[in-house]
Amino acid sequence: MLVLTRRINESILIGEDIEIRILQVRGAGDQAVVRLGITAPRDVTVLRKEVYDEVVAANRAAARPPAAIPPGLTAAVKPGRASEGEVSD
Amino acid sequence: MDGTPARSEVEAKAFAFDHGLFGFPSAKRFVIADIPGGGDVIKQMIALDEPDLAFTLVDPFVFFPDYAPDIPEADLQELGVTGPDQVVVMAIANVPAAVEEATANLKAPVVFNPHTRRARQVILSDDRYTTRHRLFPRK
Repeated sequence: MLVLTRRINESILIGEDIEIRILQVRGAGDQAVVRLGITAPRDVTVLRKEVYDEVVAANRAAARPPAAIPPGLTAAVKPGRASEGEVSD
Repeated sequence: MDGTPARSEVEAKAFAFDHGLFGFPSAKRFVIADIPGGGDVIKQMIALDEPDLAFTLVDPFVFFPDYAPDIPEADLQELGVTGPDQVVVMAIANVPAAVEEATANLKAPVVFNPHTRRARQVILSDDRYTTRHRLFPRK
């Protein structure tokens, strides 16, 4: 991992069109908070990493073999009406 | 759909996910299939490039009428969207054996363009939405 030291209002560039500027640092030690300003092209996705990790985890948890969807789901959507067929295998 | 369609026919109907899904970067083609009784509200999305991989999709606007995903312009452009009729938004549902506990991922909907057959999963910056909204409120 590349490690750089920067002062407030200094930036780093990633490629030619992604700029990350240090805007504010407050607190110290484990409580320190850094405020960053990010300039990037619109087609570059900028995310807090924990949000990305959460979406990956949600997708993994939702993955199923084809047709392994509990038949009760459709019955639950239309209360009082059984689903039209059983899903098996 | 009657009988088992030829694989070439299935592939012609596939949606291309150029980036895969989050956590499944090599799953780049999916077909949408009906599930019994699901109608247009509940579908499944089956991977063509990964064995035994599928996801349950739900129409989020049926379960969550106030859902208002703001899909970034760059994502719409990538899908070749030129008008509102070219956008279909679905949510991935996590459906456990206890169906009443099912949740939908409103934070990262899947956006389809049926005209260009391209699709992608988009993470919204909107903090109102999470990856787990209950489909059926607790009684």
